[in-house]
Amino acid sequence: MPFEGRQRAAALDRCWSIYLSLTRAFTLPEDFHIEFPNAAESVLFSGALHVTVPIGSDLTLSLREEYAFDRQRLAASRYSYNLIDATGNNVLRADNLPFHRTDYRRRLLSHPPHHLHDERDRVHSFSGNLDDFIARAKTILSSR
Amino acid sequence: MATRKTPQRMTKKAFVKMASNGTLSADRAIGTMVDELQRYERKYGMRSEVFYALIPGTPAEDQPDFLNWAICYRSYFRALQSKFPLKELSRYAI
Repeated sequence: MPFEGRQRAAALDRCWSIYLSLTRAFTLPEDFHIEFPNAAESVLFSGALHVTVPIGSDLTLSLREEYAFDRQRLAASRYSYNLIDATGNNVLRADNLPFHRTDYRRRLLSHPPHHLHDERDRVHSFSGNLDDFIARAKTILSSR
Repeated sequence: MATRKTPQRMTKKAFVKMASNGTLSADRAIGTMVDELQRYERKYGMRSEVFYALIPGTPAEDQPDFLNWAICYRSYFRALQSKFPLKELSRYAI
């Protein structure tokens, strides 16, 4: 198993906080409440969480986090957050790949390597915090 | 008038119980990842092993499918290692 003992507890804590963030922000299908614990259990085998959930009639949120332990603390070593429309286009996406230092206006990223791509694939600063991504997704959802 | 049932948010206690009760088998988790890897392989006409040797670690990885493919590939290996002891897996190493 990738995670044992306290690491398992920390991984499940992270999954729980993601569940809370999602259920506070959106009205989610009933299936989600049944499927999410399976996705969290899969973290214990694979060291990564993958959740895909519709958040509106034409928007889907796809979240992936890959975990590692740094001095006993759980961290998302790699993540990919995607907001996808009905045609499969990425309306918004965020990740922590280390290939951007500036945004599309050539200003330094505020929290590198965290960054966000808009619908036109332009790079913006991003905190790396999932709640910030959810807040942006919520704004997009309410503007449709 | 019929009222719509609002899905109930589960409690943390219920969540931890459901997520750690062992209902999800490693086989099922691995099967889901294999399906996803095969979808990417068909889409890009490339074996996952080849993709992983070529793309991750380069700027080309900063594309949603490639980033998700790389994470899925690493997750698949970790899940395999949790199912089989590393020693047994190493017999199949080239």
